[in-house]
Amino acid sequence: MKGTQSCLLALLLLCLCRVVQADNLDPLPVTWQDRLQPVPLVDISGAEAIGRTALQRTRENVATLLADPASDPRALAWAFGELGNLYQLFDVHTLAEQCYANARMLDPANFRWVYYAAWLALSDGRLEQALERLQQATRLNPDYPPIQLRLGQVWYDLNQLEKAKEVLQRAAQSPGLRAIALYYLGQIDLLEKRYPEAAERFQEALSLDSQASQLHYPLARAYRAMGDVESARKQLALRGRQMPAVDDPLVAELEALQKGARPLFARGMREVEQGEYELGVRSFQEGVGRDPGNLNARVSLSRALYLAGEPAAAKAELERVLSEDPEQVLGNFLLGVLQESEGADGLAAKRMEKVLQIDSGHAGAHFFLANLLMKEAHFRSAAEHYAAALKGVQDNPPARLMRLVALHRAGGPDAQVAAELQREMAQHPQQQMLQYAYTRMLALSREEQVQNPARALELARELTTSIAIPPHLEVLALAQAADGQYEQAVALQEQLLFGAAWMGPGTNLERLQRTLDLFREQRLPGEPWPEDDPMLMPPHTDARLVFREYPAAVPY
Amino acid sequence: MNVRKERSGTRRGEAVIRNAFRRSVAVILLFLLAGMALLYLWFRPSAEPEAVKEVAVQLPQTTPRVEDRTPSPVRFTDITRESGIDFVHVNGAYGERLMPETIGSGAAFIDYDNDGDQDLFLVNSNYWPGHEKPGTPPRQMLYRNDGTGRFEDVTESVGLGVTCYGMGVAVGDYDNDGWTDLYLTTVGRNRLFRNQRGRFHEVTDASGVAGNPRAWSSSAAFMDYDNDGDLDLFVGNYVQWSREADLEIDFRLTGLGRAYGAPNHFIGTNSILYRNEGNGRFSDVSRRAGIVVEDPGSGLPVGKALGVVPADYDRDGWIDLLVANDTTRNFLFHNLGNGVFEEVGMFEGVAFDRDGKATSGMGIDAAWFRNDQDLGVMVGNFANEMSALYVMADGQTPFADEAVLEGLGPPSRLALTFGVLFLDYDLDGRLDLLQANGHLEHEINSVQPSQHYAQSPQLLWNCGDACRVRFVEARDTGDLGKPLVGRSAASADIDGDGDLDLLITQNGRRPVLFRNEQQLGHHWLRLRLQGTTSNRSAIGARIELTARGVTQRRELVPSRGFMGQMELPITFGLGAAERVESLVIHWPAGGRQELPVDRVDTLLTLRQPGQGKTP
Repeated sequence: MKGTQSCLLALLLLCLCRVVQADNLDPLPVTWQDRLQPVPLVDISGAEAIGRTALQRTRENVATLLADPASDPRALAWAFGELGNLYQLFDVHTLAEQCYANARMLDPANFRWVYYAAWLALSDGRLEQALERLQQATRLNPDYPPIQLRLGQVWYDLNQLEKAKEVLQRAAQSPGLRAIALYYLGQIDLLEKRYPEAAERFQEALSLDSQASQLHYPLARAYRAMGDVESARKQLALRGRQMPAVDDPLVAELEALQKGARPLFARGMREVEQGEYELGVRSFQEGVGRDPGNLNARVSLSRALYLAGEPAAAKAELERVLSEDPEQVLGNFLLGVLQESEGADGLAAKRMEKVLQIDSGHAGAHFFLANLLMKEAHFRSAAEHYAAALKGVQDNPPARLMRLVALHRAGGPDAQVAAELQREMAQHPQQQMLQYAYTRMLALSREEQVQNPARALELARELTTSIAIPPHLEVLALAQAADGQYEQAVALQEQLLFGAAWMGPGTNLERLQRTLDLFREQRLPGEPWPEDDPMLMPPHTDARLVFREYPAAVPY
Repeated sequence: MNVRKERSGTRRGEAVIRNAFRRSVAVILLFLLAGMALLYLWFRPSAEPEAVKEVAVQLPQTTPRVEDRTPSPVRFTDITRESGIDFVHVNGAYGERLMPETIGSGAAFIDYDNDGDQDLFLVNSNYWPGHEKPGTPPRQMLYRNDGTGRFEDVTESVGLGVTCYGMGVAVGDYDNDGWTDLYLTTVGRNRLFRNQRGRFHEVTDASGVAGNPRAWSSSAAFMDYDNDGDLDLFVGNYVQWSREADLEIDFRLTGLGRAYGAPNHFIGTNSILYRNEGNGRFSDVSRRAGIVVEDPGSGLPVGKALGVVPADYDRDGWIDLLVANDTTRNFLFHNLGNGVFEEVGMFEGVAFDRDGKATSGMGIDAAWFRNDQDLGVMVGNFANEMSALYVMADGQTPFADEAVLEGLGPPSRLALTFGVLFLDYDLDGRLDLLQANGHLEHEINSVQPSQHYAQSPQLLWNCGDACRVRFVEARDTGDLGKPLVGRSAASADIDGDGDLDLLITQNGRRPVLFRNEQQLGHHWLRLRLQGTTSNRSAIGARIELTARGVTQRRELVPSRGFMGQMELPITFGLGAAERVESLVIHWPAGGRQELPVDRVDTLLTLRQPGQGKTP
């Protein structure tokens, strides 16, 4: 019985889906079925609204023409071609292919659809099909210069270098194609180990199109192969992702159909990633102009503004976002970070609390709020927030240590904290800050079951052997003193103080001096984890780093 | 265009469909009636629309370098079932499309019982919490070979019936006791199993190699980077992934809806290098050894490692590491010989494709495939990215990507390649290439006409210097030509006939074991090495064999390809050569040994001179 019900339900859904999804393109009207390929409806939820609308409208146009037996085949070809353009633009290449096939069937003499079909095949890496279509397109319109370039690309990818050279040299005669043709000719020179010629071509291409940052990498390879290491390194540092511009009117027409904001946002993301913040701002601003309701993108714009050195504009953008959607999580979080960087700790803490009201598991908010609570000596709450931060992220070494520091300062007994610290050390042996803290605890704890100066000395020596940085030397001096070796401890502490004096005045200097005075009196500091030890303080908030790197699940 | 392009999430499309469904509930009965008619329309045979007539493709013809030759036919037969392998990989996919479900799993050929034949370990993944299915949970499996290529499940009796979200595997005798041990990478805590006379005991905690319990590890490799005679361990980590982040990002592809995520949406991670302390414990030396690669601007890890192959590319006696990263630059860790590596991938030419773009690197292998001084490094890449073949020139760096020139580029362009291997499948004395291919998305063909979920593996025959292009796709390969959802590939002589058989794992499906049916009459020599002052497995040994005036160079490195392990014995094809003129072994912890070889078509066990360490 259950089986029958399931079958019935499946049948209903089947019928329903078929009805919901049917239009004139699939199945095709009977009159067209023997000539054209159906173009099924697919899930286009991945496309932005403007794209979905364009697809829908163009589909409807095709459907209308299909329904009319008197439709001009060339008009129908055009409609299919336009639909193919849109599917190509939105990466549904299977349907684009079917649309172009229909367009070519209906209007076989039209160069346009053959060329687009070739361009689609080339984009997909279907090289043999691309070649065949380009050859067909050449017969239809031999005077379209980009064909030579596209043929060159195909021959090059097919390892037919002589043929590639021939057509690329022809393409290089067209001013709008010269830089890109030189790029491929230079790549062939590289393959054939003619390095000086390759370098010359890339240099000329760069002189024609200085924005084409992708030229720097092959140029670096040419220099490297020629043994010019310094020039190679310089070019590597300039490496980017911008190919030389291509003057291909048909491809430009296709790309112009992209009215959405997403490509601009994607470009902005790339620019920000490459450190080109001003360009990133421009791309996001242009994108937001097209899609002002995209609050995620506006937050990304704010980040680009901050990184471009415009914190006030960044803040204003965040505030605008939050006026439209007070629950925007990342916007709230970044505003909190910005406020903290301005010294407005109270506002920042409130903002982080707000983030946690919206998203109780937000690791970043927990961490930054914990840091703020540490400053206010609310150690127990801080410990809780550090723990929550650790739940949310895979790797946050400062939070791991600061949680224990907070617990200790909240009155946690040394034995309990030391035991937890030991567990953390076993799980994260590479995190030396844990070993630093543990060593201090063993050296200075007043609890007998924890105190272990000999072990502290052993661990401190391990740390300094691993890397002899000042904090490790400091903890070695401390362990020596705890072990009764005050003479050595004083000598080491004096060295540390001398080094610190070069860094200028500050609490660190005072603290080191205070400890030295104690050592000289053959006494030990009272507190294993003093509040003025920079290794045991919450890390300084680097707003720039947060704005650059804090992950945005949906950046636009 | 790459289907893993960035997409932001929207559920609007789903909402539209849901609303349409609700509105339609009222007329469901009507649909039921209409449904029968529609079903008929739907399933009736439709007239095939006439396809656009394509002009016949005139494939490019150029003057041959010397000659165009075709590979001698070598067929491979799928013997999975008849050999007793009933393993099925479980990736736990239940509909939410979580990224680890796409990666598949590795496999290792390992002689765990020291009886001289190659047994088979297969890595399994798992169901996701809350989505378990009734019955026995998925587990790792070990099959014992009876020496003829028939396998018996011995998982439980050897102590490997472990359930976890497994990824890759590495093998090596880390404690030099003569029994090969096994390391398992996972999404989560990794695990080390010590082989004690054919029974495995988990020693993860005692050895300190679990790694971060929230890490996603991929390929791993045992090798002796400090030449102290014991095996150290490199563990590749992929991305910082969590189910929550994956769902929050909500990847969508136009035409598919919710899709599997792309690595460029996740932060990278650092891989780990463990130094073997010789007392059963390993120390994480990643940072001090220079394995940690961080972006100088952000301090965030750069790596998204999927493949690793150790190789001494500059032949200075210190093993280097090549790491294939997914969507970020590949790494070449140059071993400076003082316990420190320098990452020189970009400078030495293996980091990017020829355009300077990072590719979606998956599997990686390295070999002297031209039988000269030039090491070649092959990297399998995503669909519409050719596989890379970075080759040195006259034994010197920089590497240059010669995939196109050598004939690998064009046939690998469309495939989504995971596993890659150099192997001499026809025993003609030249290393050929194997690619295991398969897509991430089941329905990819509905948006990409050139892509399918299952894709045929590709075997490319090495035609040698005489041919116009070196690598020629072998067409008549028997069952190997059938489409698979390929991931890891491993090779071993499972039946003792001297040629290399193959195993390819599939994602969410059974693996396929292929018997090499070659009957070409080519001669061969197999070598099983035993280190004494070097590590017992002799991993890292370099072997130079000369026959008929041609010197073949190999490194004994079982960790190659993608998350899998080859057998430890090394196979040299000799073609028509009936004798070996010279055989030289450079042992990893030092020492060169020249050995006479008085016969071919046999397996020789060669022990390093000198006294070994007592385990």
